[in-house]
Amino acid sequence: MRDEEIVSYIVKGKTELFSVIIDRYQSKVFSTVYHYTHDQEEARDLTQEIFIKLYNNLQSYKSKASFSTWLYRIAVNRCIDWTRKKKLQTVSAFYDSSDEEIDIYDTIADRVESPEEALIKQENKVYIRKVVEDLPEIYKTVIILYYFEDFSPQEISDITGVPKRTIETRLYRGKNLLKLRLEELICGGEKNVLQ
Amino acid sequence: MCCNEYRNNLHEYVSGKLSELESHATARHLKTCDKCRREVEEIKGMKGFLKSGLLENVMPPMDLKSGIMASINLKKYKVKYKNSLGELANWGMSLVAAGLILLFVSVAPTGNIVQVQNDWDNTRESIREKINQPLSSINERLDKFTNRITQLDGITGRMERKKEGGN
Repeated sequence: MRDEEIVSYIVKGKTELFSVIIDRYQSKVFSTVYHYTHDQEEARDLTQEIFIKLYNNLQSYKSKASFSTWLYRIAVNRCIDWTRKKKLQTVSAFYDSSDEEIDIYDTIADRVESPEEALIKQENKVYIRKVVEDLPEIYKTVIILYYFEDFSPQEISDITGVPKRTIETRLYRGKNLLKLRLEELICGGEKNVLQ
Repeated sequence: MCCNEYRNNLHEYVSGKLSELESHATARHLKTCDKCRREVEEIKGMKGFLKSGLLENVMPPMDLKSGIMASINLKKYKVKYKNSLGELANWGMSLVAAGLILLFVSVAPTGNIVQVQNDWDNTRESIREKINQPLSSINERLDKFTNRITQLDGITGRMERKKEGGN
């Protein structure tokens, strides 16, 4: 049964069918949310909030946009809100997390050839996480949706309501920024390690 | 298409979401454009690199679904549905009531049906008289006219006979 049909049944009273919607989307929504929070519990709470909000607003769903686009729009907006609130609460911990830095330096010390290859080989997920986390918001959302969640620029445009051309530009600039910061961080780390 | 236009679709190209025609054209362009080819390689490289950081299995907790289902108000739309059914029932009752009223109104004259029949007969008779009256008058006049002609015919005959007798 198509998502849109399930939604029409739910708003007519067959509310148990919402479990089908959860089954279909919980993994991807949770994964997207996790790339913002990097915390299992926070991601769990946010995902739950997103699905509750989705359920409570099912009546306002217009079938002009696909249901999944609508759902991800709710999810991404909630994640952006969460990031903003989080930023107000804490200063970015990117350069402060000494434990993680030690981890990064240890892995860089063992690197074989290029910094990128070294990082890939050492599987330093904390490192990547921090770089993405520190990106300006307009780049972070498109980077997460494109590189981690495999949405196409057109789909990201539909979700965010930003023109596709702008998404392509943000992806291009976001990638360059990401690359620059990765290189800066790796070079800095290398120097520190060598000293 | 110029290089910039291809460049605006390179992420879409890597996603495999371009149409067959666009994808084919982009692939052909990449064979001749180093800059775009490098860009595509960078995108692919970054994709692989970032994905390599996703080693931890990002799976939702087992009880996420039950938690959501327990938190939502399952009666939310059921109440609305029930209300709409109730409204439908009210409409049905109203229609039945309206039908009954119409039935009473249409049945009421049947008690005087003989009277209605008599009235109708009288009216019909009156109309027939009104139509027949001028016709019978015309008929009478025609009869009188015919009689006079006959009389005149008799007089003429007598005059002719007298004339013949005089000769």
